[in-house]
Amino acid sequence: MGLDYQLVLWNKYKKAYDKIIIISMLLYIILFAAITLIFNSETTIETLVIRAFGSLAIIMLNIILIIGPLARLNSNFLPILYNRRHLGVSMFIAAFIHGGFSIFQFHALGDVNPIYSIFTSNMDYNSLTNFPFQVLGFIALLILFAMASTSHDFFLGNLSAKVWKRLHMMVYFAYALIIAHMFLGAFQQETSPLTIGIMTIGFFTVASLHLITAFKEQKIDSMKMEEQEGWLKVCTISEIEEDRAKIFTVKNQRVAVFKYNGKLSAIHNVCKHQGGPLGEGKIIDGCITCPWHGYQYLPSNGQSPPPFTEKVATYQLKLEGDMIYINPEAFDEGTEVEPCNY
Amino acid sequence: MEIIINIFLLILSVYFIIGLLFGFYFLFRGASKIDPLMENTKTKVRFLLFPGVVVTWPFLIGRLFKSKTP
Amino acid sequence: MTSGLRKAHKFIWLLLIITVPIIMFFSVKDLEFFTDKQAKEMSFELGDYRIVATDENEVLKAAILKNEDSIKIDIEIKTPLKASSAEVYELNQNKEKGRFLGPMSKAKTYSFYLNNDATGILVFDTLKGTEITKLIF
Ligand code: HEM
Ligand code: FES
Repeated sequence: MGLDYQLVLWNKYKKAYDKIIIISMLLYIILFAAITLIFNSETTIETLVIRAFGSLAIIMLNIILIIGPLARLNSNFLPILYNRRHLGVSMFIAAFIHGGFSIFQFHALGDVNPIYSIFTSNMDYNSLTNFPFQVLGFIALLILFAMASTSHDFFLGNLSAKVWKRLHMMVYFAYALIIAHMFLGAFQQETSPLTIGIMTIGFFTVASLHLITAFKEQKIDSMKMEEQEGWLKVCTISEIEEDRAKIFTVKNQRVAVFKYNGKLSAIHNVCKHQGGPLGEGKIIDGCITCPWHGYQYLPSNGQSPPPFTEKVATYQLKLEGDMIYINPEAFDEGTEVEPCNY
Repeated sequence: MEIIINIFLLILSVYFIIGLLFGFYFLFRGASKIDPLMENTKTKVRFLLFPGVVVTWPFLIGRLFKSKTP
Repeated sequence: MTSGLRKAHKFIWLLLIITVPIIMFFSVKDLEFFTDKQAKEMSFELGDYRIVATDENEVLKAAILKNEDSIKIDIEIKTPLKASSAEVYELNQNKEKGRFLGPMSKAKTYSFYLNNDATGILVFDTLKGTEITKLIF
C-alpha cells in the first residue's frame, strides 16, 4: 500500500499469473467453439457464446473454491492463492457474458423488461424439474457481482474485515445456486451423463476437500495445553524450524510462535489484511511475512514496518530449560515484547 | 408469486438507484472523510471502485455518519 | 481466519454437502438419458409403413406414417431453430400439449412414434416457455 489507491497492485508474478488466466480462458473458449462447430455445426453464435462462457464460469468457480483448501493442505499451492482475486474477477466476467447473452437472447426481444421477464417467463415456481432456473442464475450473478466489485483493498478496509468476509462467504450460496441452475436448466434439456457426471464429481471434490481441511483445523483449535501457574506449555525449542513458526491455540485464539536468530517471539496468528495464517509464513528480512499476500510484521511488537500501520496482538513467552511457555493473556495490538533469547 | 416478484424487483431497483446516486457523492466527496488514502487517489481508480460502492452503500453510509459524530 | 470463521466455514460446507446432492438427485431422477437416440434420423426406407398424411408450415414439414400396429411421424426441420432448446410434444385429444416426444434443434429429419389418438404436434421452446410452432392433423 502506498499513499493512495492503485488500480491493481501488480507485480511480476501477478502479471504472469494474469497472463496465464487470460490465455487459458481464451483457449477454452476457442476449443469449445471449435468442438461445438465440428459436432454440431448448426449451433447459433448466441447459443455458442452462452454455453461456452457458462461452462467456463462454472469450471473457474470450481477451481477458485478448491484453491483455499489445497493451499492449506499443501503449501505449494500458496502462490495461486495470492492471485485468487483476479481469478474471481475473471470468473465474474465470464459469468456476466453468459448471463448477459442469455438475457439478450431469451428476454430482450419481448416488450417486457428483460429482468422482469427472467422472473416471469416461466412461472412454475412449484415444480422442481421445470423450475425457472434462470432466476437462480440471476441471483447467483448478483452475488458474484457484489464480490467482484468489492474485491479491491479499499473495500476490505472500509467495509471492515468482518462485513467483507461475510459478503465474500456468500460465494458458497452462489455456488449452490449455480449447481441448481445447471441441474434444473441445461441438464434437463441436454441430458448428457458425461457433463452431469463431471459436475457431480467436481462438486464432491470441492466439498470434501473443504470438509477435510475443516476437520483438520478443528483439531488444532481444540488442542489442550498443559498449564503451569498461569503459563501454558508450548513445545521445545527444537520442535520449531529456524525462521518459521508453530501454531497453538490459547484461549480460543491462534498464536504463532516464531524462532529466528536465537530468539523466540509470539504473535496473534491472524493477518490484518484478510486473515491469512501468519504462522504459516516465514521470517523474511527480519519480518514475519504473511503467506497469503505478503504483509509484514515485526516479531517483537507485531507492527508492520513504517510506512504501514497494521498491528497484531503480541504474547509473552518464557523459557524453562528447553521448554517454551506462553502467557495466554494477549497484549494490546502492537505492544513491544522482549523476545526470549536462547 | 407475481406480487413477491414485483416487490423483490422493486426493492432491487430502488437499492441500485440509491447506490448509483450515493456512489458519485461518495467517491468524489465522502470517501476521503473516512479513508485518508482516498484524497490522492486518481479518478480512474475511483471509477473502478464505483460498482462496489453501488453494491455496498448501506455500510458505507453507516461509516460516513459514524465519522461525522466522533 | 479466526476460529469463529472456521466454524462458520465448516457449518456451511456440511450444509452444502447434504443439500446440494439432494437437489442433484431429484433433478436428474426422472431424466431419460437416452431420448436423443429415439430421435434418430429418418431412414427413407418406408418398410411396411405408408404415408397417410403430410403437412407443412414455415418451420417444418411433417409426414405421418402408419403400419399395422403403430403410427410414426417424421418431422423435417427446414432451418435451424433459433431456440437453443426446442422440444416436440404430441397434442392430445383436446389439442393440448401432451406426451413429450424428444428434443430437436438441428435442421434435419426426426422420427417419433405417436399415440393412436394424437391430434397434432407442438414444438415448444422450453427455455422461454413459448410455442414455436404447431401442426394439427
Ligand atoms: C442473469 C443470469 C443468468 C441467466 C439469464 C442464465 C441463463 C442460462 C440459460 C438460458 C442456460 C441454458 C443455455 C442452453 O441450454 O443453451 C444456462 C446454462 C448455464 N448457466 Fe446460466 N444464466 C445466468 C447466470 C449464470 C451464472 C452466474 C453462472 C455461473 C457462474 C451460470 C452457469 C451456467 C452453466 C454452467 C450452464 C450450463 C452450460 C451451458 O449451457 O452453458 N449461469 N444459463
Ligand atoms: S492475508 Fe493478505 S497478506 Fe495476510
